[in-house]
Amino acid sequence: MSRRWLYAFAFLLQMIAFTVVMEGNYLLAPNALSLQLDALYVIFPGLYFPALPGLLLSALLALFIGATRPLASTSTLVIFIALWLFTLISRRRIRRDRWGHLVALAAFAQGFEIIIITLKVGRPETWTWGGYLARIGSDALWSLLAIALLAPIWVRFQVRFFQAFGWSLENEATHS
Amino acid sequence: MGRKLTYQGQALLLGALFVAAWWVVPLVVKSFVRTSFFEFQAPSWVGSSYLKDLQRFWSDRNHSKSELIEAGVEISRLASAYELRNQQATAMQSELRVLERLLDLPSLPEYRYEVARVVRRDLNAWWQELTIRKGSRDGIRLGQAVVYLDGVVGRISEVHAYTSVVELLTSPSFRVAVHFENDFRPMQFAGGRNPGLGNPSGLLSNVPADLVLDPNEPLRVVSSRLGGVFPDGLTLGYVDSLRHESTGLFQNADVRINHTLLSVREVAVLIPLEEELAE
Repeated sequence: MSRRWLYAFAFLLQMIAFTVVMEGNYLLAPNALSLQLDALYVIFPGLYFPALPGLLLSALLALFIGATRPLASTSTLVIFIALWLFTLISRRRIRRDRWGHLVALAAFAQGFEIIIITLKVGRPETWTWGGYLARIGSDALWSLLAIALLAPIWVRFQVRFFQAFGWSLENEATHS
Repeated sequence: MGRKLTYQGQALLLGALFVAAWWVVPLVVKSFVRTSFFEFQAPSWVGSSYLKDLQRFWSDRNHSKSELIEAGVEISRLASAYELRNQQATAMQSELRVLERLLDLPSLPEYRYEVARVVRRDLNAWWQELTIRKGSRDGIRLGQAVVYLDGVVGRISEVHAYTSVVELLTSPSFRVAVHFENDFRPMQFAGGRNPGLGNPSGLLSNVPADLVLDPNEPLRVVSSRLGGVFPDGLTLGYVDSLRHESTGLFQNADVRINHTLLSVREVAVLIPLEEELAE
């Protein structure tokens, strides 16, 4: 099968992951908890795909996920491309088969995204900085714990999934 | 000879060009893309919602007959009580119409209730939204009021063909005119306080300075028809104490919102009958 099918399946898998995370948030909402796991969807394209397909996939994911949020589409696009860029640049500095490296990469990327969205949206007028940052911190803590647990599992699952279909991902990630 | 860009430089340039290209795309195209992606995902949420309903049905089927009979008896008692209240409300509405005619007053708006299941909850520190399983094809329009068993839920902020997005009253950008029960002086309610693992609350401002509150009798905050969206008298929350503002002209208070709002499964959209007839 051609490379296009590889990228299409990768997009489909990230869509499924996003849907599952949204269902998780549906169940967590009564406890005033929310998981933000956007870095989970961008890590795999950033680590394993060449620049252009990885960028297009991340941009498509940004538009897909951004459609459900009350943020401007350009803001979500910039955030996702920044996450992708961070992952792409980190490719040369980490070992993709090391669990700890994947955890650190995912956690840093997710933490960065939470900070950017917090700065973009700003504090509600009715809330003090202490209360607002406490809520951000609570969601960030749970999100980082979840992504630290899930990111290596999700990346390795996708690698094995595509290898099972005969795609060699080592050839995809080329460095200049 | 010019230096060749590094791999990272090339990636950065590519990303910057992509963002710049998207930035100049016309707003109508961006809006179309956003709506298309939203509608593309909607069937998966609706499908998941139907699966949850099915799961609940099969779990309810495991109840014993005696449990179901008891529940049926309780529901019929409630239904009788509500039927009586319905009759009283109908009689009061007739009396109201007579008074409106006699005093030449404008009629109060009447509503149709469109019940909808909640299919998605996106409740975090930045925004508070629900997605419901009804849309423009069911007569839902932007800005309509959404209520539930315990009072106000919020307002419709986006409408699609089969789904709609509700901005909750706990949302940072939610503002509505309110008053205390039995005191019709208008005040403003603003949402936005949603502590993690805690109960949501809002801020009540422009409370008259002469108002005194008994700590043992919390005051109920209800919607005011002055806002033009919500009918009068729907519960938003309760106030336990008041505090004076720095100007001394008004007071403000924290509004305790019912925690059940975060786990609401079914809501009703208030569709004004006048608007529907006009369409």
